[in-house]
Amino acid sequence: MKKEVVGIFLVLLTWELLLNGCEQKLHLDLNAQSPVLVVNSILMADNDSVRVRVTWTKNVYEQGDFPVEANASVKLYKNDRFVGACQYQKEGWYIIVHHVEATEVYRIEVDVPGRPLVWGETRVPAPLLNASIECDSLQERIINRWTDREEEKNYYWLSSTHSSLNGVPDTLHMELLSYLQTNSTLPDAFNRSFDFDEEIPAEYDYYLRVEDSGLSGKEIELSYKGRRSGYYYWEPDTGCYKSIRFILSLDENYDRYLKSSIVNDDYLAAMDSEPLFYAPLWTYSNIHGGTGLVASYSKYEDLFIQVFTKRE
Amino acid sequence: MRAGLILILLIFCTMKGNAQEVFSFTFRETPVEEVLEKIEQQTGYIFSYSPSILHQCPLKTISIEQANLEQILNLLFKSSNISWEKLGRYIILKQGKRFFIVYGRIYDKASRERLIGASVYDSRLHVGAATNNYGFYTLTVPEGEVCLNYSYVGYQSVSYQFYLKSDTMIHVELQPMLNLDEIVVVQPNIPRWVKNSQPGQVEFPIYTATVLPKFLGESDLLKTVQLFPGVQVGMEGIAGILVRGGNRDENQFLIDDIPLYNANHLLGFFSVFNSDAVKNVNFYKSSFPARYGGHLSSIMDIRLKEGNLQEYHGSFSIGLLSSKFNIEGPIERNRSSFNITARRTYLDLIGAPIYAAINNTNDSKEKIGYNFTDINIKLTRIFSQQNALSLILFYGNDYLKYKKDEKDSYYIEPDRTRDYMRVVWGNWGVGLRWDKMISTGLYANTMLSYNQYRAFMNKRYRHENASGDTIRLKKIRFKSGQEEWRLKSDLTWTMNHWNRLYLGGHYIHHVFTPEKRTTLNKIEKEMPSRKWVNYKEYAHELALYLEDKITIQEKWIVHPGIRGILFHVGSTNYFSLEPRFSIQYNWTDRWETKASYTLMSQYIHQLGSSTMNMPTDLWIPVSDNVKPMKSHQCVLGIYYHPCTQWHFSLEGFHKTYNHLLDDYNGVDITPEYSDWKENVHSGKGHSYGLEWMGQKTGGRTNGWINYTLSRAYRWFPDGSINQGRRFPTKYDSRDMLNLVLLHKFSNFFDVSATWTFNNGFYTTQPLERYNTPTHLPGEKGEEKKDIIFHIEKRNNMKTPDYHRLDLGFNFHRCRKHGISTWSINLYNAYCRLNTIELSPDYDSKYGNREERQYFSNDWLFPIIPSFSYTFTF
Repeated sequence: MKKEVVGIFLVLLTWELLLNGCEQKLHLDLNAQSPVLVVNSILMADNDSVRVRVTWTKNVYEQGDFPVEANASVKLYKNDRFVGACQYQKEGWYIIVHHVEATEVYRIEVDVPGRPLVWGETRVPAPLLNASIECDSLQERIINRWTDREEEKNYYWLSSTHSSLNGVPDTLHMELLSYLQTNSTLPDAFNRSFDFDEEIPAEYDYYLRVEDSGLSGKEIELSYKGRRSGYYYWEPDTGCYKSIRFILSLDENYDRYLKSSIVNDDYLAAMDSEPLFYAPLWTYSNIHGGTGLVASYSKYEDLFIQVFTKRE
Repeated sequence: MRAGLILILLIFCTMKGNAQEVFSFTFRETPVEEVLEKIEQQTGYIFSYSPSILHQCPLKTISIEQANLEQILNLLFKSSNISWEKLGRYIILKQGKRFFIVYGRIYDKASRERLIGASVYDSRLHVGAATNNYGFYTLTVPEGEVCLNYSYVGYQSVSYQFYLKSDTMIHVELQPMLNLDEIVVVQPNIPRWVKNSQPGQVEFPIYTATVLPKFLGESDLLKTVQLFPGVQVGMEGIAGILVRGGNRDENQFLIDDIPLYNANHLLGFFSVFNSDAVKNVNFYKSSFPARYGGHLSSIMDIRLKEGNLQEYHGSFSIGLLSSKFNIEGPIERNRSSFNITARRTYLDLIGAPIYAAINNTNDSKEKIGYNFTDINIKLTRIFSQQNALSLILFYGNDYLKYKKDEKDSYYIEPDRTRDYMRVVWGNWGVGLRWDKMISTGLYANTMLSYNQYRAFMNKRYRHENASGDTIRLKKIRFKSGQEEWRLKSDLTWTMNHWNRLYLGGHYIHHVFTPEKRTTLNKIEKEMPSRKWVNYKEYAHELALYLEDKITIQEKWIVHPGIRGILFHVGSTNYFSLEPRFSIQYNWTDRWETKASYTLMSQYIHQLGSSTMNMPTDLWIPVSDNVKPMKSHQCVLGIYYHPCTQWHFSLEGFHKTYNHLLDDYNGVDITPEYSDWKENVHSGKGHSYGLEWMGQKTGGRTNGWINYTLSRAYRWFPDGSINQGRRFPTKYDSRDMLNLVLLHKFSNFFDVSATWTFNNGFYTTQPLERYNTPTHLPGEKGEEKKDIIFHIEKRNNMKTPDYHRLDLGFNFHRCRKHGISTWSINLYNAYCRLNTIELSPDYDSKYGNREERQYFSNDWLFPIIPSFSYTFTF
């Protein structure tokens, strides 16, 4: 609504004051801005490989793919000890076979000839403790349970993906639930559909984010009911329906990145019409000497598959 | 006959000779007793005294030529503790010099309005004082002959000469100079230290605001302040001020000691201060006396007119945007008065039909209306010479209404959507002030006030089908604001002729309502969902202050002070002790040096747009996590007054900030209240600069020119913003230049011109982008994966230089019942397209695939002519 107020004021100013909002082109040499090295790598606890993508930023309106860096030296360190060099595959991807261990600190260093060293670091969260995901009998409410780890700071993200429904269920294309409704007061309000503290139940966009402040060592139970956005038509008489419900435990970098990226999306959505006072938002990055993200997470997930057969 | 004539002439000459009898003496290391004997011999007067009182007098070396007796005696006992009195042919010497107080009020003779900042000065004794905010002065002088000169800018001076034997009350009425040949009349030749101003203090007569070029025909106090050094404008046309690198919420506006939290109308394009209601303005950028506090960057102390105690006067004005009137007069002659001003815009009456004519179609009907209103009322009752009571009321309100009714005729049975919104915001306040003269040297002022700022929004959206059934209904009611109950008391105590003490304090009960909202959402036949929120926070503030103004031998003025504040919010208490200190040294009558140090704290913050004044801006108090903002400011200045009309100053300032709040994203939109603690971070700031000003205050041509060279930075040591690196503030401008010129051709025609220049402002623009970390389990949306902007640093782009020329032409005519004035104004006379915002965009030529990136330079105001008509009676 506030944006509408702003919009109406703009209209008011332009017409009521008999002044036309005017525009003048100001040509600046944007190409003079030098590209920055981008390092992206997300490590998952217990995975057997580490994938790193090295690319370059490009001009805001430059078309085409992002330039990739194929001549970088990408090294992986665990607790400050050299693990090995990643091998270049294609499209900027570098891979090393290594079992990612929880609670260890990994550092990725990228050295491009003639450029300063670029690096990022992450501490892999421990696996979720005593985690379980259940559904109630009507498959409406998803009940998540786990125990917070007292010894580390945790950022939990909960949601579920579903087969996209375009007439028939499509298990190849999964969609994230758009709205999660819960009675719990644990989730962070940053993505609440309506910003109400006393409001029960409250609805959240895409995820429930729970920070472990005040939960140290406690058993946690959080249930939610999902809702998709938009209208869809589906007669479940045939096909396969798939749903993955998950609880993620993110490291701090991943948590800050994901939070800022969602805030950014919301802001851009609000600004999708003519921006009145365009101001871009900052997306979190923990890369030194460049940009991007080196982060990690551990995951507990529950797969639900339902096969429908047409009754004769 | 001839002999008689000679005799008369002789007697006359003798009398005249006695009256102007002058003597010459020369003594070297002579005891006082001998000196007195010589005087007795020459003058014929007889001294009467106790010999013991002369023991303290050292041997005298005096050389006097052609001096009268009074001058001789004053010189003789100047540095002693002996006073003298003439009784016939006897001169009585007494132990101890007695001091008495001359006190009273200085009024405008025509209206009996109390004058603020009028001077009283004894040129022989070199003592002087100025009236306070309530027109009261007090002066301590030794027993004996005094010759007091009372003066004020624009008024004829008055002198009183008498022998002071006891405390004396003198109420003085100064006659305004009606037939002025000059736009601004020069202050009579009184040493500047009498009416001492702090470094960084600007006091200007309200008349200045009315003669400067007007934007859309509206004279504006804040726009006048923008023309002083160290004051940055911000966005084009906005009446808000940014002082010495500070933010918009760091300025305090006081109307007769009642604070005002929304000083603007129409997003800030106009201020709420109606110049017809204002008597005096004191604007402090630094060296804040201890009696002020609560905001970091500036204090604007505005005093309203009390109203004419003698007869009825008034004015009305009609402009392009608004009309206003002012009426003042006695309720009971010389006892009580009223002053009422009111203003209302008619944008809604003029603009709405134009807007409707342009936008309305068969399918869509829109209606929009906006207006603002302000009212100032002041009632004053003088009960006695010692007691006066004033009732102050101000009200300023903005109103916006929007309606839209839409359907799509393409369909046979079209759906219909109706949108309705009403937004009302503004502030009002009421205060009761009691001015009490407790004793000759002690003056008290007590104020009980209530003020409120609130914003209210009511929005309704209804989507219905052709048969009138509701498909979707959404209703939102939003309220935000804050209230303040305030009890304040100030005491001024003139201890002696060189020492003046100010002490007092206040208690404030704050009620913050950052957000109160009810929402109703109904979709087809579903049960409607109702949601509500009501945030409220209470705070208590107690402040005590003490300041002392000490004048040492007319050369030094030392002004130390201290202010203690206790702020209680939730379960947290904050206490701060704020030292204030300023010192002035008068090298000569023409050269002065001033220096000051101040520590300021701020306990409330404004969340919202840093650019404009929005109804959705929220005021919130400090909390457990959000600490009070602090600033330290040091100022050093040199001031030169080559003659009474010309004044030059050079001031340097250095200011540091702590616990500044800034939004993580630097977004110019109000965050939702529940999120604000998440988004804001605490950081530090730093600004420094040099301000030069040359001013001519008299003659047919006058005005000022000033130049500011400054820098302002912010940084967030926790790395939350700009990776912890230092960045310039949005409106940091290295160079600022203002030129103001007023010229009066005749009593019927005057011209004013202002030219302003600065280096533009900073904006944050993404120049690069990159791809997201891919294959994130559960990450929402795939379609937006390539739009992460890489923003190298906050405020990375600078807009082009800003400059603008405004012209004003005023034509006056004397009519039967008053004076009529036509004002014709040109805003942005040479049509400079000044930037209000940059946004990136690009051109594509598909034919040869050529693309060009550019920034869209949005601007608002081209050349804008306007006029207004004013009739004063």
